[in-house]
Amino acid sequence: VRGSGEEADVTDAVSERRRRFDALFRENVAGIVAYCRWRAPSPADEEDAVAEVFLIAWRRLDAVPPGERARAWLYATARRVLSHQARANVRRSRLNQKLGAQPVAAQAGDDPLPGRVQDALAALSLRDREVLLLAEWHGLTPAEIATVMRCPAVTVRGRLHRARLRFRAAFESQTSQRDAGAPVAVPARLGRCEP
Amino acid sequence: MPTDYSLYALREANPLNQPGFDESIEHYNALRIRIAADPVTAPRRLSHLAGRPRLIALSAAAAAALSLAGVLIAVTLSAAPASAYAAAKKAIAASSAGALDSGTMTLTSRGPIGRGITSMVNTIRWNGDDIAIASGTEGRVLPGFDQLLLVGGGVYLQRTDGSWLHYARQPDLKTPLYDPAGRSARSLAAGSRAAEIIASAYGLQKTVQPDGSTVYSGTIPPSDPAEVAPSDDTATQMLPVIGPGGAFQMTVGSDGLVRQMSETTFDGTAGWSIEYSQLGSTPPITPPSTFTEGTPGDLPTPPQEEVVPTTPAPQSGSSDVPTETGP
Repeated sequence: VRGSGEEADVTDAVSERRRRFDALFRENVAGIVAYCRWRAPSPADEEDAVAEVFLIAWRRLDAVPPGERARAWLYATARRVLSHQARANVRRSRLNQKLGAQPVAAQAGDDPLPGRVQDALAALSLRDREVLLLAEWHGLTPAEIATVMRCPAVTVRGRLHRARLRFRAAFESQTSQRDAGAPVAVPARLGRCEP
Repeated sequence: MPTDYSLYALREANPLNQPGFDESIEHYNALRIRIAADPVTAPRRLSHLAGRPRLIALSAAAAAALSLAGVLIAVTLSAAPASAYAAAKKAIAASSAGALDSGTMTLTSRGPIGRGITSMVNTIRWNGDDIAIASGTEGRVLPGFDQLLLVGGGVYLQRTDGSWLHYARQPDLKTPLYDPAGRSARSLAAGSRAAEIIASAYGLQKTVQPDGSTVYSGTIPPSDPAEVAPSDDTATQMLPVIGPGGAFQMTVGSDGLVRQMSETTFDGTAGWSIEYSQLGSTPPITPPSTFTEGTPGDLPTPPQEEVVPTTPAPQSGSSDVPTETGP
């Protein structure tokens, strides 16, 4: 039988842990959802990924760095979760092909991106797109992006510069094609074109 | 076109700033509650206590619970509720002992319950695998005792004079009198009974209230009483069986957890309700500091249980009975 002092210790620690997790969740859920939304091939995959990210954060709360650095930790976790998910989807797709089943199509029609921006982003490599969006949409610094992508910050700065140039070129090119009436292939979700 | 217009357009397209984005992530709040209610990993950081047998047992149970929570989250999130039935079942699952580490239920029954009792209030508290059952009005649930604690696999019975008896294991009670109460309480805490009712309710309607809560209401099927009876008889130890044609109602708070549920007979003469409280924050259930070892002789002879009457069904074709069928 536990003593009342030990019970109080356990209760306090649990409460503190929940408070910290609640704060972490509230401050970052929007960003993580947005990140998973443009990288996951379907809404179900997005929801699975978000749930997995925060379940990992809850399990490993002691490993989550304090303060602002927690955000990069969560994005890095989300990136790994989505990578695992993409590999699993590839395996599932191969299995479906072997079984002769048709893969389930990702749900379209819920993408909020204006067409030209989406077209231009789709023309970038996944790496360029990721570094660009982490900076422009999620507001991560080059140092934070370096943490997420596991590369030196100087590499991120160079890659971000080139990604902006390529995006601008693609955007203007898409604009010209649209003005000329040329058809443009538009992916429903950005992550689908590259696993 | 200005050369920086592309980046301007890109920033304008940020989904975080789009109308409706905040609303689209609201349902993730239920995820936060569910994960943070998981007891599994909470004791991990208490390394100085990790060697204690109690916490080792808790850790093992918690590992299983976390696995269950993971599955629950995946299942719940990958299948968004397509109907009131799915949403109601989701709320029940989120509020059950399988998803929350602790909670308190206050049961109120009125009408013919058995042994001449026409009304009863009692409470069930759970925390992890431990559970506390109050005997309730006139001690109907636990005749001769005020309270039953199932803690760490052992059983503690509180006499009406306040003293406690201890039995090392439930089978040591050697009487079927208290086992159904424990099973019934676990069934209710697990949400099994509520899930059965939801599954059998007809025409379940979902109404969102101004305070953000949601009320689900439906009707007990008029045709087959067997459909509304519990799959085992444990829940009847604490709740009267409501006959066909009765009304079911459940209130779910804005946090996605069940606050209240009730069933009422078609004529309103009998019913029961369960109020949920302290979900995720019910204190640990601790054994009494002083007790004596119980023997079979300390237990009273179980009285003959009356058959719990089922309220009469309305006539077939009654205007009160909807014809809509459930899923």
